[in-house]
Amino acid sequence: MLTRSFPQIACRARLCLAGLCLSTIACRDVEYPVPAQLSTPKYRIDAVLDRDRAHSSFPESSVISGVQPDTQHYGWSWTNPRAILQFPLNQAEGWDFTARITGIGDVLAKSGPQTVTFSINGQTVKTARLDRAGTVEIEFPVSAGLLTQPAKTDVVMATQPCLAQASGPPLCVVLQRIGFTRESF
Amino acid sequence: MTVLRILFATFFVYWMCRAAGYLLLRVLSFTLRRSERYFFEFLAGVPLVSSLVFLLASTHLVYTRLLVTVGAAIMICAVVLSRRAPEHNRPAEYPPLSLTWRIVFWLPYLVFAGLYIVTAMGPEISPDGTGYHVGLIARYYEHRGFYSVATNQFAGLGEGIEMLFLIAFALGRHSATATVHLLFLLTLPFGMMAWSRRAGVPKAGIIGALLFYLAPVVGKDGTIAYIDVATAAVVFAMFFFLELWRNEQLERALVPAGILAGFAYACKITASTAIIYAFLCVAVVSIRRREKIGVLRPVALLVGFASLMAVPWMLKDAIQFGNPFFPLFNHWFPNPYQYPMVEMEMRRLMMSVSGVTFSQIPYQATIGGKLFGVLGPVFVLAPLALLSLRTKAGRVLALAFVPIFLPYFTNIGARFLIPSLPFLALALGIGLLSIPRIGMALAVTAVLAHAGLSWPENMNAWSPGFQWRIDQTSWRLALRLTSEKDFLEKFWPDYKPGLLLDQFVAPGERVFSPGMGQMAYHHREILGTWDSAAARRAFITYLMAIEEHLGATWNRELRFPTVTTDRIRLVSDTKMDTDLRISEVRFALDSTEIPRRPAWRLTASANPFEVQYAFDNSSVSWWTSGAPVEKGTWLQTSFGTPSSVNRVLIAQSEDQRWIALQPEAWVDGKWTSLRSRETDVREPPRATLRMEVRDELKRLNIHWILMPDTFYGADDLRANAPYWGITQMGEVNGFRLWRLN
Repeated sequence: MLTRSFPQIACRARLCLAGLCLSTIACRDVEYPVPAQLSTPKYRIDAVLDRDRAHSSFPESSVISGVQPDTQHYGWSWTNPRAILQFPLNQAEGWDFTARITGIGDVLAKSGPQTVTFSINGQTVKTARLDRAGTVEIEFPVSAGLLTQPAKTDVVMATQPCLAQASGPPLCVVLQRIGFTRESF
Repeated sequence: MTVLRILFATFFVYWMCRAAGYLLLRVLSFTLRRSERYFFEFLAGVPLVSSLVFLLASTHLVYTRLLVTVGAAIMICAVVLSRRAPEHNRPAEYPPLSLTWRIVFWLPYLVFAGLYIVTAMGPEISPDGTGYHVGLIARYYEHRGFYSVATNQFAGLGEGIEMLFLIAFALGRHSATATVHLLFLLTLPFGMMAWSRRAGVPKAGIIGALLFYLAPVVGKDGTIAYIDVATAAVVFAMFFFLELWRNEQLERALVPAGILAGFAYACKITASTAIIYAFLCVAVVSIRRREKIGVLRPVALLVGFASLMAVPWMLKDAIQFGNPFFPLFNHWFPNPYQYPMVEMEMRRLMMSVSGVTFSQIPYQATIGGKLFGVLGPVFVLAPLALLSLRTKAGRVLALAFVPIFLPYFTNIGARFLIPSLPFLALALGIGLLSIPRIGMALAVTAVLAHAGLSWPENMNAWSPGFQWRIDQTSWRLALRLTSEKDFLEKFWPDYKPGLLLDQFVAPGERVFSPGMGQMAYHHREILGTWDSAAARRAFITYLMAIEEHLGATWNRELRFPTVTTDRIRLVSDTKMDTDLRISEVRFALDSTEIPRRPAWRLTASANPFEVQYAFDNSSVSWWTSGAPVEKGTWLQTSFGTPSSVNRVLIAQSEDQRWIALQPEAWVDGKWTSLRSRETDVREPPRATLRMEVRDELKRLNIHWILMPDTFYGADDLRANAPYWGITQMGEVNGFRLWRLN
């Protein structure tokens, strides 16, 4: 009795198993809704050359010319009358330009007040005047139209007047920090 | 008292199985010789008792009193019926063996039985035993049956033998599980000898039985809560009943043969080739007999009863894990509980244990020991087993050996030879005895040498370096004259960390425990580094704060001509041996992000179960393909309504930078590849990353980390605990328990 009916039972069991397997495979196409959005804190994304930090967020940011090497590791570097820098920005929108420069008393005493002009991709965007020794923080939003994609963004920092030296390039201001920064999404 | 409990549990399981086996064989009108009954009644009953416990565990009825009541009822039924059994039908016993042969068998058998019993009765501290063979059983006992174990893939393995462990654990706790496994080791030689007598090679049976029984790896495995020796016994019993059917044309022998074949799958998935062997054996023999009833009936009988044993475990896995063969074949049966990639990694690892190549296996498995255990130098003579092919018995053994042996190449650890070893040992016995003139002397010498070489104290003389073998035997400990707790605290580093978990961790809170896997002596849920998808996710998440290539973000921006579509895919254009991981995906039209809406639907070609991690606004959670990335692996977003898009922003770990991603949009009823320009920016690990990782672990319900000081990154936890936001709650045996604040 048992042996006669069992093949039928086994057959049904196998059918159930096959059904389960197929339904499992079918689950591959399952779709899910967007989950609850976690409130992760926003943080700054910096495309900045910073003499005070060991590394830059954007390693490809670079000085093209006009900034003297920070060979003494004092955390500051002299600029030449025309400093050129380059930044690879991954998008055009949302950037703030930032710079920290220091006017040096000895230079100002001999050369008089200095004017520092910042240009982005050939367009002048900011002029700062240094009358006395001290550090100046510069920060302003950058129009998306100025930042061409996907080419790198050129920044020119022109300083007048500077202090000529008997040997070597003239000394202008000390550049501590320059670049672009934005908030993450 | 502990000793009595262990012994009671062991004898209870043995007699419960024997009684069940007796009842089955009586229903089938089998009559076995007295010498055959010790083993085959026991083995015929093992699947039945295991199935009964499976049923109780499925219905959450695992209560000690119920187990005892059911067991006692089965035993009483068997006793009552045995008194009514017509003894005159019983076949005549074989003539006794000569005194010399009896001494050759009984002397080493009893000496090693003493060693094995003392060893098995010691505290159970084997890695796999405390990890899952007993670890999970202890949890089942707590829960009164099966429960959802999402964090340990071993819960998906067939647990046929473990169901007997469950009875043993209920009655005698941890050590009783090892002594129940020992039952199989102690009885299997009688089964091998019984078959040999029927096959007309009784002396080869003694030689083969002892070669198997005395092998160091068999002794080690059979005296701890593993299942390899039990599986060997199950497979051999199946073979015996098949031979009974074949030789004596007893169709009813196919019932226990089928049950045992199916049960072999329930014991160990690699033993499932026993079903294939049994199926082919029955089909071929039936065809050759040209029986009137045809091939179908015996095959259906066999397969039917095999299914009775195997299918419940498949159903359990299908229901619990969505994969009837979990934790294998996850590529064919995708599920959220284990990544196919981890399965592939494990396969690779197991196919080259300790870097041993296939050509090195004969040496390493017999003497070398790099495969975690040795069969003993005598098995260097294994090629002599080929001499047995000149006899019918030898050919029958060879036919059974091959299919049982073949899965060994999927895991070349020495103990994975055990299921096929009885066949090899018997064939070797026949081969040795068949050598003219010196055969018998050689066979007896081989056995005696095997016994001498396998004795634990003697193994240091010939085995190079560390061997996985019996090495901690103490009759004082076996009799609990030395406290079990003292032993565990002094000699087993994993014991006290378990107690630490019970002391500090609240029930239900998960612990990331990459260096301690024992589950038998504590009650908390632990995650390792690979034993489930959740564990792998926790491990990689942890590494994000340790390993710069994982912690640094690779921001991609894909720009393409504006397209209006309701579905968009990111398609891999790279084939690599790593998985594809994406932390965040955002879509934008020019400078405006397209806000995520509830109407969006997300899916992926692989591991769709975790696709939401790429859209949860957390850069330390990630969707993974869970399998090595292929060309064409995709992640899909359906917007619900057509949207204009011309930018996709993707955040990934830096190690993913080599995998090219191509956007595709659903346009005019087909997927269209979008010509995109990619801009990539590396963002270094954020100063807050450790805390972000901590928060993500907490979202995975992991509130604790238990880590040995030697584990990768443990020094970072110690040095930067304030930056992780964790507090050390305890330290023991080089493990520290950290609470995630």
